Amino acid sequence: MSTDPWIWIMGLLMLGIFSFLIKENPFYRWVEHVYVGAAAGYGLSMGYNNIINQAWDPLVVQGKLIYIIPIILGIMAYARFIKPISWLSRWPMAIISGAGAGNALYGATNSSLVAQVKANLLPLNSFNNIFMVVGVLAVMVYFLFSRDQKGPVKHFASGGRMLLMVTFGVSFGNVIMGRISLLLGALQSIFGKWLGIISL
Amino acid sequence: MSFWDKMQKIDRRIIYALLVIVVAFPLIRPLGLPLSYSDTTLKFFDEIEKLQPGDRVLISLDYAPSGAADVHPQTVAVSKHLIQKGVKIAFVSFWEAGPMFAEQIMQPYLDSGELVYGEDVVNLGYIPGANSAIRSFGFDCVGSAPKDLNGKDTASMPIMQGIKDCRDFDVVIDFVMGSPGTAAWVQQVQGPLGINLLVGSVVVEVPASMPFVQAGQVKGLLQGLRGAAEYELLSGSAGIAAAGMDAQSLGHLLIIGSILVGNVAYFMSKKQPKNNKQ
Repeated sequence: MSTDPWIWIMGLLMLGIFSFLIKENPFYRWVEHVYVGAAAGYGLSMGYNNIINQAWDPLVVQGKLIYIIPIILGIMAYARFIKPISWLSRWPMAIISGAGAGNALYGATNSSLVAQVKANLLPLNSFNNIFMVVGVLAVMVYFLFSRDQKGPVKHFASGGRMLLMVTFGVSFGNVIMGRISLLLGALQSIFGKWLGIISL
Repeated sequence: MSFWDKMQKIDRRIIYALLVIVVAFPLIRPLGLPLSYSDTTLKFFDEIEKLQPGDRVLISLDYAPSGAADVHPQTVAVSKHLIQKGVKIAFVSFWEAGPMFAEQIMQPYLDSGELVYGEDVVNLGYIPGANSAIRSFGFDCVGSAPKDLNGKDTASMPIMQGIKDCRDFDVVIDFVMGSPGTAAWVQQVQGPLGINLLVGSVVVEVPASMPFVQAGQVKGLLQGLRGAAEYELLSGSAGIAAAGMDAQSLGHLLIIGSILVGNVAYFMSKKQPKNNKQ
């Protein structure tokens, strides 16, 4: 069993979170608040570090005057807390949204559309390739709403729907696998680091 | 209430208790169930094996404690392998908690003198700005991270010499549990610059990452804790992930069993009124 007080705190906090499985209780709520507070404090310290490293130092220590523009924009974002000048906060938001949308548009078009279409232009010389191409077409037909899905189109779209169901099943299976991994991690910490029953 | 009705209304706490018992038992008494290697893990491993001593790798730690149990063992296993090969590692993060995980990995090696900070390894810290930050860092690594986590100049560090953009790293690895993550790296950096990108992902994110693997944009993929276990065994240093695979397999069996019991009970209880009438 560990003699490190921090490991004991970790173990007790984990038990506090797990106690929710029985029913909600004050110990669980207290641990939840500790988690939120610790995360907020950590985020605050990282934010402070970033202001120093990415804004203050380049401007004041290195004399890079160009940094004045983003710093002023950053300060303007806080104008929303002062009612008479709250409109000023829209400018940095507009720049962030515009730059973000521009970046996303370029990246999505190039890497998520063109590259994916290219990746699906496969020679139909193996079962896998045929299945892949037909599957992509079937799913796309399922989302074709500009005409009634009747006759062969309906059957093809139904095939697409089946493939989507299989994909959702795979996602569900992955979620279970992921959640068991999280439980496993917690139990390894409790039995290994804290109680010393298993060696890690 | 019939047997099948009872089967549909099992107290959730009984299932939780069963799950904890089933997962905990093989941790204490390992069963040694066999483990096969997935194709994406083998590709990931092959890319790492191609690296030579002195090569530089960028590791982006884009996850938080809530998903760390699934992805952090991957980071540990891959970092250990890279360090054994004499490869230099620069850690960066676009998630706030990332630098903390980098510290956890680096510290034992720095304490033992196996690695020299700034020469063999560096923690570039957290860069806010999600997709825009990833793009900015991808195109100008030192300019986007002028200081490391402790406020030291990165431009003067030996490990960062000659690094202009992400193409100057031999491999870029993104360990990820959500957004920003794989999609952002592919869209903002891999696409425009053509970097050699590998991904280690929480298993929930795998379906979203697979199209990028299929298209060759991501060269290799580690899938959750299982991916970590496969990598540990491939690199010859079985660790925490490999030790947990028996528990994971038994956990899956219990869930499969629960789904089967629930469905059978549902259909049997639907049949029952007809039987009663007869």
